[in-house]
Amino acid sequence: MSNTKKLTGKDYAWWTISVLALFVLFLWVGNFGNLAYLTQSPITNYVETLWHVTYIAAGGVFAIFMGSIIFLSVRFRAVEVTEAKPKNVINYYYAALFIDLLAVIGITYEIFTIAISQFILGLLAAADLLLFASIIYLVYKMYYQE
Amino acid sequence: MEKARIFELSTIIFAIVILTVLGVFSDIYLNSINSGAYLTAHAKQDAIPIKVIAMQYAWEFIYPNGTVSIDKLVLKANQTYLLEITSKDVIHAFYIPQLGFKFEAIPGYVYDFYIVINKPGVYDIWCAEFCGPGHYLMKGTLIVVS
Repeated sequence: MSNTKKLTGKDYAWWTISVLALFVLFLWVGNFGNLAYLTQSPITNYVETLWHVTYIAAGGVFAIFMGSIIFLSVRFRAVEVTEAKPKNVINYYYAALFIDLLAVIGITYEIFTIAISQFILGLLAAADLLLFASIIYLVYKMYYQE
Repeated sequence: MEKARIFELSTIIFAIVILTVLGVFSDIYLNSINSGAYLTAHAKQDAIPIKVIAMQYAWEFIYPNGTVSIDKLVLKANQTYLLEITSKDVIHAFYIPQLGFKFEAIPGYVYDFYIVINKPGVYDIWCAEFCGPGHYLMKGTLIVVS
């Protein structure tokens, strides 16, 4: 992606990929809008359908805005000429990022697969949020190492 | 019209369409749940009435034959019941999480609520409205038998 003002076909493709990736991520995190704990009843059918539609719609809104923010901030980021940093620093960032992503996937998987109390669920969700925050920090530090 | 303007307007229209669809769906579903419109006239006529009386800090259930049960409601799967929900003292809320729905229990007012549960099991009944220092103790059990 070059840093010119005019968007090319490749840029639009990346934009679409960003939006679709975040849409899939949002759906996956929310178990695709399914409420597994509900029982079977006409009322739960209504509730589940409504939640499903709401969740997918929210996923669309989230994906369009977050996907666009990510794409546009990367596409039009300020280009600074800085001295080359020692390569091993960046490698540490990549390693930390990789571990963070693995932990996020692992914790989210645990949330959906293990029968746990609400307290533990809250702790795991909080851990996920903390990891997301650390990922954002790491990405930031990779761009602005000063 | 400029491309950017079209894109901006399309996001607004997209949001309006989503919110309208969700609003209409919610209204139709809520009315249906509240009035039991999903039931046939015959099922409504055959519904077994059960009085649900909330009080600090217990649930009282009165069956048609006069049997009184505290904190335990036993229902038959696939049978239609008409819960007549009210309160003896302050405002409570009759909440069955696995049903995905809650109903206010207000002193001096009776809410009629049709309920059919298709899956036998043991479900929680909670008070979802802060009703005093013992609010957290106000838990009941719904047992659905086949």
